[in-house]
Amino acid sequence: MTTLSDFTIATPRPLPVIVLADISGSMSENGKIDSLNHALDEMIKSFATEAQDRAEIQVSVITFGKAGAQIHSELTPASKAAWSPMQADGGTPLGAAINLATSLVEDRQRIPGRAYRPAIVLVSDGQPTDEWKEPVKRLLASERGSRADRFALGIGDDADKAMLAAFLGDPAKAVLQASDARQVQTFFRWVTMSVTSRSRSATPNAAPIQPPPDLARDTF
Amino acid sequence: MRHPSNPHPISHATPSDGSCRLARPRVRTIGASIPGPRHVREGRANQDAWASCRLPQGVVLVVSDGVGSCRYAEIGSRAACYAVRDAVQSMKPETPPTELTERITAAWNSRLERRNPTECAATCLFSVRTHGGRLLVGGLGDGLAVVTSSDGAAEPRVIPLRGGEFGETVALGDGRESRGWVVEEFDDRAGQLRTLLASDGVSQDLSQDRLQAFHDWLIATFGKLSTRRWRASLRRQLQAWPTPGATDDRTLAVMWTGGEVAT
Repeated sequence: MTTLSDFTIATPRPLPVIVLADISGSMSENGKIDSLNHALDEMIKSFATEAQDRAEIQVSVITFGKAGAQIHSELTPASKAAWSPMQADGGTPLGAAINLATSLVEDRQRIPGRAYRPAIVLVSDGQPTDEWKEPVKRLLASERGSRADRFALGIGDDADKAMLAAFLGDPAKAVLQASDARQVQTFFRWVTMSVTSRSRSATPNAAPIQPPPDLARDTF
Repeated sequence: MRHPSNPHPISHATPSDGSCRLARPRVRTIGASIPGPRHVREGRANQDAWASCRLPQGVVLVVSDGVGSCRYAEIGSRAACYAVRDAVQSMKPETPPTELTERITAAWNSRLERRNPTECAATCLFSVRTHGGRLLVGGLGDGLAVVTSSDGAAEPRVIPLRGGEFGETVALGDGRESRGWVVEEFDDRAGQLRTLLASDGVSQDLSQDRLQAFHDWLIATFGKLSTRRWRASLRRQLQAWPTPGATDDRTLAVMWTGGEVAT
């Protein structure tokens, strides 16, 4: 017998999280890549344990390093994602990574119209080695990219704060700065809390993101 | 306003309303609207509305979704239903879609009884079928407006509403009405076209590749029931919505032709 369920989608609406991870050679210093791997693994595991009855959190990781910008993990429900650690080497082709993220966000096959507002997270420890201003401008001008929640973390003193601020595109939003592994983890716990509080909300598109942590004091 | 010449197999050609006929198709409508689980839990009113009516000009079907953040969203959505009726009542056989939508906007504003329009913002999807076989389908805001043919020979035509995504939409009262309306016109003198309108609480979870089958099923399942029974049955279906996590108000409405009315 035909029922309504024959014409409806059986899964909750997706809530996409796209991480842009710097895996340039400098990330191999001082255990930065290890702390990033650990923090991402922890974030995905936290998402996987969230109840999926209201929104399905999906995660994709885009890396930029020696091999250029690449999809490290396709957009997948966090409950089905298996984290494979990243290796750090090469330059910092951020512009290419931003272009990849814009393509993903605007792709209506991979992120359907029923999806909740995506979150895009950028983590970098250095200066981009390719042209990044136009790609960032394109992301912020795109219909969907402009509406996405954006988070930015600079690791270490050499991080390009101006570039990270341009990515956020909002003077009211602060670029967070991490100087050790603990602060990288604190940043990702904040991202995790912001996403999960939205996924639990009755109105995930209207729910605000959590206030940012004070990484220097680790007050989150 | 969008006036495609003929971008798809369903004909958009404008009929002559003066054509002579001995009988005209009998236009039928069904629909239902329920508050979503969130509004039920919070004890709030359904902010969606739907309506259908028969006028000397033709048959009107409307679905409206009050913008959730607005104080008087439910008043705005009901006013949208009345506004379409008011606008069609003053419509002539040759009234262009642009003029009709301008009249809807004006009628909606006058229905608010001095309330601030921004506090009453609501989407407005409609289908108007004149007795001459002119079918106007479209709207302002998100949701779904689709035209299918009863024989399934043509691909469903999904009206490309400028709805926005991620919870944002254009709506009556938001100041963007003049560039937000999308209306398409079809020739339905043969009485083979059907319309399905749905608020985003329904449209977000529908399989887009099964719209024709869904439309067929709605008409075949509920169209044969008495008014009292289809009202109750449709409401039950919407209340038992199968997609997990769906909290929005839900509204759908269908228009089709079945049998003939002697003229």
